Amino acid sequence: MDEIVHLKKQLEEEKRVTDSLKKELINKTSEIELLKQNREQINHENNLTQKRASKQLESKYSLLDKIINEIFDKVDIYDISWAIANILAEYLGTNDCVIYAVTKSKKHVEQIAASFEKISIEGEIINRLTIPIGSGIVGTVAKTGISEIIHDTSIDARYIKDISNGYSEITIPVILNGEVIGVIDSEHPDKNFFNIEHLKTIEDISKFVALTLNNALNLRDRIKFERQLLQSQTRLFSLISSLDVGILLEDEFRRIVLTNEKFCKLFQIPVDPENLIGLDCSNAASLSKHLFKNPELFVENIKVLLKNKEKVLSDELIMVDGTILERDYIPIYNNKEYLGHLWSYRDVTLKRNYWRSLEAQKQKYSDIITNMNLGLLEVNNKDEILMANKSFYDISGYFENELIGKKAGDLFLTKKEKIKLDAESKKRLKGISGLYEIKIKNKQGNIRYWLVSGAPNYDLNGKIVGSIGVHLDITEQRKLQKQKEKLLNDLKRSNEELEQYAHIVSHDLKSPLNNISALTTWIKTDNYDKLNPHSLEHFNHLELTLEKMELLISGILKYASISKNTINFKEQDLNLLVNDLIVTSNTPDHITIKVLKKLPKINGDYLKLVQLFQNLIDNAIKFIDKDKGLIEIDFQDNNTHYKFSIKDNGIGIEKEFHKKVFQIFQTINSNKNSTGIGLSIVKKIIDVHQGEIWLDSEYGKGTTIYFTLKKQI
Amino acid sequence: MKKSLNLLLVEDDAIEVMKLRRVLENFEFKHNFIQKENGEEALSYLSRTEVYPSIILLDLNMSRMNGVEFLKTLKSDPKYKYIPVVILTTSNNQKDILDCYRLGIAGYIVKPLKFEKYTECIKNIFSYWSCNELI
Repeated sequence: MDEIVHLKKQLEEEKRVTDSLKKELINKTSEIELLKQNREQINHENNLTQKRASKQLESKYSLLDKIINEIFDKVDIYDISWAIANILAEYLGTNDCVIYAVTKSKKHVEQIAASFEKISIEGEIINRLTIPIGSGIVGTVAKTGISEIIHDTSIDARYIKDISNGYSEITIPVILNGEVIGVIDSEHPDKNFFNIEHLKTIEDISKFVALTLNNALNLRDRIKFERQLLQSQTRLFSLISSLDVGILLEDEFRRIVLTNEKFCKLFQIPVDPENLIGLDCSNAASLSKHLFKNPELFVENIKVLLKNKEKVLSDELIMVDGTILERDYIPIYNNKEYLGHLWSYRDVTLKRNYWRSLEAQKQKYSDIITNMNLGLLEVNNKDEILMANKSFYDISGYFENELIGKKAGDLFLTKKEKIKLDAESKKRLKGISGLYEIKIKNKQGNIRYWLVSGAPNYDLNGKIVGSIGVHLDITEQRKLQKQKEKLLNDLKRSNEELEQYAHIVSHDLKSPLNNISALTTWIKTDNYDKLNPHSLEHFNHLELTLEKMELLISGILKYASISKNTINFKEQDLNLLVNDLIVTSNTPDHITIKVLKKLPKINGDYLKLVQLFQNLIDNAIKFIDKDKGLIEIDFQDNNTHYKFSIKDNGIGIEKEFHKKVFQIFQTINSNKNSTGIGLSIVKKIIDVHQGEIWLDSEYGKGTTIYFTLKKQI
Repeated sequence: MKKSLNLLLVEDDAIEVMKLRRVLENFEFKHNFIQKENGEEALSYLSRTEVYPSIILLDLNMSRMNGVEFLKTLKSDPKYKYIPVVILTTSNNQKDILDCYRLGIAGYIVKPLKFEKYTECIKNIFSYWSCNELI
């Protein structure tokens, strides 16, 4: 039973398993059905994708084709990128496509092309966009290296607005060897314009662009470098050819590599320097040796230099025509390999001669400074003595070692004089020269007076570093000057005193004289009846004597009052003056006065000139003893002076008295009206008019008085 | 209409005083005549007197206070400055003449040597001033 039960159970179990298998089979079958359906679906999709991909591939190839066609004959990076930008813009259906390149500094991207806007290598475009890496959408992409499509830029904070607002933007990095070297960026005015297909296509294209750009960039750099190299080479060549130094570059076989015009000129080679290139120089030294003063030495020297192959600079060579050359020999090595050598010849004749004449000049001036009789002293801004010449030692009494480094002011000056020097020193610091007198004490302690001419001293930069003074000992001159001044003062004072004295004495004399005169008159009048004729006669003599004495005193007074101080110089018409005088004077009837010429105008004092002519005319009248008297007045122009003459036909003067008459108190004839002062007054008046007086006379026939008066005083 | 003048002579020389006195004595017309030795005395007289002189004859060269000093004092005093002063001196020094005129004088006479001429001068002065209306 058990067995049956067991079998039954077993059967039941088997049936259950079979059932579940059956169920499973059904499930699987439906599953397979589903899978079949799926596969069909997938196949269909695959088909579509394949089609799309091939279409994409097709447009990609056509794009590449276009690009290659456009750029294959272009080398300039700007031309290339411009072409690419245009093609991409066309493909994207927009007119805004820009290509940026990362700058050398790798901090910015720089616009190198924009569709429909051309940038050339020569003309730098104004407003060429430069964007810092990391900033804006372009900058972000340049940093991340991940392409981006922005469907609405108005909600993207990074967006940098360009000339026109584009709502859609597509930005793709240009990557070479994992590094961003540029960015392609395009915009479109509509939102949601760019799609993933655009992105994929341009990403693919960008790999090609990367290679192209890289090549172009390399090319650009190489062209730039080559151009610079060429430029610097040209510059070097023109520099060498126009150099005022004779250059000769030889290679290791002594063939000329380079030389210049100056070299040809110095060595009298009548060929263009270019034609010398490649020539062998082995024999050159002996060919040009005749140009030098010591030809054999020249050749020998070159041999030695070439043998030693060591740099020798500034050898001096003297040529037959007197030209002095300075020669450098410079061997050229590259990694210890001898490649040749450079000769350079400089004409230093002028420099040498200049230096020589400078040296001679210096010698001359230093001789002058040493030997001149003026003390020279140089001090710095602190008044410390830097230099003095021999004369300065002589006048100061000090020796060189006692002066150098000492303060000049402390050594020579008293406090009072130091103040004066300080004022002068301040002037020097302002750059002002000055001439001044200073009182000093020399080494012996004697007071001396120096005349100092001080001038600021400048260094090469024009800064004031001290002053130089030229000193002249004027103590003796000063003494003389002082003496002279004192003498003049004394003279002036004694003259004044004399004048004053004359006045006082005259007045003091006049008063008693007046009294005597009055008393005499009274005695005479009161006793007229009682006096005998003799006494009356004596009274007459007494009165005459008193009168003469009065005249004498008045004369002295007049004489004393003529001096330059009391004279008033003005233009005077002598013709008017003398004629007035003749008319108003009491000329006796038997005497005629003639003025032979119209008298000139002169500069003088009216009253004194009247006195002058009056005295002379009166004198002439006084001494006329003839029945018919004649006085003639005349003059001559004598450049600076007028020479006047007053001629009479009077008694004349003996020769021995011709000079005496002009001395004071000298009378020749005893005349009751002669005081001996008249002519002295005349002489003094002529003196103040800077003239002279003399006379010509023949005794018994007449006298001519000559005198000169200065025209202008 | 000649008037009698009150005359003040400032003069230290006795003979000069005598000269003037003699001239005045010979005048038919009498004048009051006061003489002082020098400037000081003259000033002290002026401060005491009630009748001011109608004219002053002044010598320049005197002891103690000379003529110019006296004139200066006189002319700076409002009481006396209108009294006419005639200088009577032997000095014809230009400086003296100028000084006096600057200070203010009515005349400057250099005393002539001869007494007759002196008399004439004084007569002229008196005849002129006695014609004047005086203070």
